[in-house]
Amino acid sequence: MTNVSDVEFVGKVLEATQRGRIDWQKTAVEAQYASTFGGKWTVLIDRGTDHRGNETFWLSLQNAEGETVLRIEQDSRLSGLFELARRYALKVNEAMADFLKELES
Amino acid sequence: MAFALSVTIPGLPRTAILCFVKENWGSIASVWGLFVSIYVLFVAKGARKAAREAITAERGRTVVEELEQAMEKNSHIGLFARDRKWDLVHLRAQEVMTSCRTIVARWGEDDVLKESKNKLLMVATQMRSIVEEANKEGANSESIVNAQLNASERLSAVLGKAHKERESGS
Repeated sequence: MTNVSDVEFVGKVLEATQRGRIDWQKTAVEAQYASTFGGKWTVLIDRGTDHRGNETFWLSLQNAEGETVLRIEQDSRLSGLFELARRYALKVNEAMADFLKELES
Repeated sequence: MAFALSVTIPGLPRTAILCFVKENWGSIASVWGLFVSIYVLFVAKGARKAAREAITAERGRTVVEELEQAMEKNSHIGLFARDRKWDLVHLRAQEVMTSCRTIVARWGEDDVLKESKNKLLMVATQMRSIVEEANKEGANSESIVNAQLNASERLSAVLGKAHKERESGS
């Protein structure tokens, strides 16, 4: 069994998101995006606020039964990952390209 | 047996056949037994295959029915959310989530169904988020309806595939 650290895990998810290999979807909960893999895993990225009102981000992994098997909070890359997931789920790049096309025509 | 031999080898005298049978009855019985065993094996294999096909067809029928029920319950979520009936939204979302997770668990490790399982897991995730949102004070009906529509698309895709597989008999 390979040992994967939380740092590595975030790195791989970030890299796959940058390559557009993760099909992030918006959920009913505000500022939460999810994707599923291998017919058994669900990865979620969330944004919330702590008791001081600061933004916090966390990445979690659930198994097919819906149990959270991993939750990562302490990683500075999570805010960037959240933004990429948000842009993918809301198709921001396509929206901007279409907007610019309309602007130029 | 002697009769059978005389029929298959017409030129042979009857006494020779009887003598042959008398001397080799053990071998003849063994060969006969072998033929009977092969026949029984053939029939049993056919019966096993038929039973397996019946089980697969039954499973397919059950999955289709469960998916159809999940589709119907999912559409209720949209209606209840518009009326802000959060208890009913909560109940229906939980039912759909359970159905999806049950189907995924029943499908097991089959790689062919990976895409369908991913879709059902996403539906389950959307349902969980709907439950979470419906429990909040001042739940956002728009985000619940959007999640319900997202789930509906995925359920339709899986149901369509399940129908197709059932019709093709695989």
